[in-house]
Amino acid sequence: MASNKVIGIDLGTTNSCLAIMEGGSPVVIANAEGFRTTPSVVGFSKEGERLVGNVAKRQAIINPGRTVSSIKRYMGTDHPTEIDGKKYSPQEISAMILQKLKMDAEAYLGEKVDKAVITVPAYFNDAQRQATKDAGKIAGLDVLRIINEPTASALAYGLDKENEVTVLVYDLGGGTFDVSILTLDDGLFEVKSTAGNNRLGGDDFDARVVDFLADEFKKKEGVDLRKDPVAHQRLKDAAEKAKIELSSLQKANINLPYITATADGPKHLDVDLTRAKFEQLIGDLVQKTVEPVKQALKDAGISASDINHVLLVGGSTRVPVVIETVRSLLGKEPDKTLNPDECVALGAAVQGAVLTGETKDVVLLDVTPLTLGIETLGGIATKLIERNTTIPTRKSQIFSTAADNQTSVEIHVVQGERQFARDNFSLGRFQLTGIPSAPRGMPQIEVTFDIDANGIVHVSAKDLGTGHEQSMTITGRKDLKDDEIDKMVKDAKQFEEEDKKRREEIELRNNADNAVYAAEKLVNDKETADKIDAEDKEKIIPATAALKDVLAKEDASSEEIKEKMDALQEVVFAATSKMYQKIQEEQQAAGNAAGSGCEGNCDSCNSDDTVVDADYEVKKD
Amino acid sequence: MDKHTEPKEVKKTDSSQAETTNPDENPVPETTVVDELTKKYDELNDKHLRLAAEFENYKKRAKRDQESAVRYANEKFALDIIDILDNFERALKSDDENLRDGLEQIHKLYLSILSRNGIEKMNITGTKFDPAFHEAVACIPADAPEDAIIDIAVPGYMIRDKVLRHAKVAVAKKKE
Repeated sequence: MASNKVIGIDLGTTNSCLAIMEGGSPVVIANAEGFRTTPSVVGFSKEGERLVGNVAKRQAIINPGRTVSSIKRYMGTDHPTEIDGKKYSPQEISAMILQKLKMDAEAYLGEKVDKAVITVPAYFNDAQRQATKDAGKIAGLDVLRIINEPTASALAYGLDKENEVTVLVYDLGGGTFDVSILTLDDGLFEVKSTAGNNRLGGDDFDARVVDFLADEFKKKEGVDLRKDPVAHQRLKDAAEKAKIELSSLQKANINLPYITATADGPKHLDVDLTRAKFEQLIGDLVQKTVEPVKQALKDAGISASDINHVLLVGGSTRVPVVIETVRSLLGKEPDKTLNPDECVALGAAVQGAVLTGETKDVVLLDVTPLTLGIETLGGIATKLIERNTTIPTRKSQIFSTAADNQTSVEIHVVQGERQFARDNFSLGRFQLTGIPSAPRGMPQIEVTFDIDANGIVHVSAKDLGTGHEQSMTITGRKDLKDDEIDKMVKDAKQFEEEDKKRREEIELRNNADNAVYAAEKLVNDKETADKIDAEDKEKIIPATAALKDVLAKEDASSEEIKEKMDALQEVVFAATSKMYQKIQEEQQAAGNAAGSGCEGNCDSCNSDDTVVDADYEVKKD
Repeated sequence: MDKHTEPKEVKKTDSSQAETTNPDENPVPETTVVDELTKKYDELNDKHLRLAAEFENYKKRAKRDQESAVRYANEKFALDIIDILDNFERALKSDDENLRDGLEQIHKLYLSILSRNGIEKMNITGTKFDPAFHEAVACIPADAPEDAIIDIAVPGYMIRDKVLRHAKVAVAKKKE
């Protein structure tokens, strides 16, 4: 039985892409070779075998008469492709690409697929759309709908959920450029205008870089690398790589050792291409996209300020100067969060799910806009539920007391990304009382956060020793505004270093405090006091006092605290290692005398009594 | 035994069904049933929503884990590669006479590091062009058999059973 799934197909001029709805969100399916896009190339080997995609592209140069590329340009015409005496219509060639994609989808899903949504350029006429539909039919697909590529992009960005928006889609691919203006009215997208240049794209950018490199090399070495097919190929590959690198870096190094040889010996190509130089090389090509954008605005009868969203589609829109050109032309920050090579196919998959009603079954769940946590010792905000966690959700963590005989703890619930409670929003606080007297760090207090589907937070604190429990419910979180969330996230990033430093200082103080506590316990507790050498005791007492003095000073530097803490730890370690050695010797002596070993539960080897956990906070998970 | 018990059980369930469908025989106050079912519904719905949310959170976690796994794998391989760089730097310090020997040694080391990571160079000299493994970058008239590989622009590599990089080759064409 065939799957209920509908595949979304971006049937492109140079590359095609395939997506499907999975768990409520669209995902791209990689082809059998592991690539997320498939070249729209079909070839026939001399043995008559049909080759589609990457494999067809790799043999194109030696088999030009039997290789077809860019068939999309002929859709809707009766332009036949004749191979080995057999004539193929554009639909038939396109069907071969679709069939390959269908098979890749079936391999991924493990079941037959027979329904698809296919995209076409907004400017396609009825004949071209019908031809695309026919191609699907030939490939064994029930084409539920043909949708416009820019519409698919808008769907992928979820713009159909907004009211009355105007969208400009700037689609610069490998070999074509399209600009479309859409309006959304009553949940339906309408194409207001389209413009473009069907012979302009990223391949032209590469060619410019190749020419630049070859010209430079010729000037220097007198050899034209374009005349040597092997060297030319290496140049082409390096140019494309450099172009990609320049999208994130300011400079790319093009290094091709042994690119050629002259009478003087081997020659290497080693050139730095700056982003500025690259932008100069492709400047006029990028400028060629400006006029169509202006034309589309004019045809739609609107001005740039009427545009609500600008979407960037096509791999070439990763080039920074392209983004900058669009930004300055339209005076608006373009949306580019989705992979520009994939967003058309993703949108087609979204449309497919809408048509089958699959999206109706999807439960829409909210996420927590900001992190939720509680304030712990030193004013630190300890995170329990991280931001962007899907709700409803629940999380527990075990905490303890910070002082001896502490009989109550305060649970201060905070929300935000900053590392200190006071920089975050305070949501409320409550006390858990009635904790039995115990040394610090011993009581186990389980704090549970539970956010229900409505975003209401239930916080409870339970003393696991007595079973005592206190809780509160927080409902007033709905008033959180988008700009508040943005500010919080931005601030957290801006103050990250500063907060981290401050947090480390406080953690150091907490650790030092623990060290004082442990040292005092060691010399004062009956259990351990007699087991320590008097000599060591005399060293520990002043070292403890010294650390305490430093901690008493508000402005004590981290270095000071660390120095005194290290000094104290050194003498404590010396004392405790001697103590354990003594205990071991005693045990051995006792063991030899009695003829039986200690079972590990006698007082002297129960080390829990002497070692105090340095962390006041006990983490369960 | 089984044969006897089976029909009995069927009978039993039949009669119990009849019982519950007859309201007169076993009257249950309607409000309690509704309350009970509402409670049950709320419980199940909450469970369902929590499961759905957990799935979403799992997807986010899985993505993060995958990203860190990839980064970690890179680091392991990077360490191997740095080993080669160390040796290159040693070679650069050496004098000209021994340089070639040193380079050959490093080349050997390089291949063995690749091999350890499952990467092997394709052995293609003298083979026939096959687009599954090779990419044609030129077609040159030559005295070789048609479709024979006559020059390698960029050697190809396999990673285990998958092509890591297709060999870029020049292919012979019949002389006219």
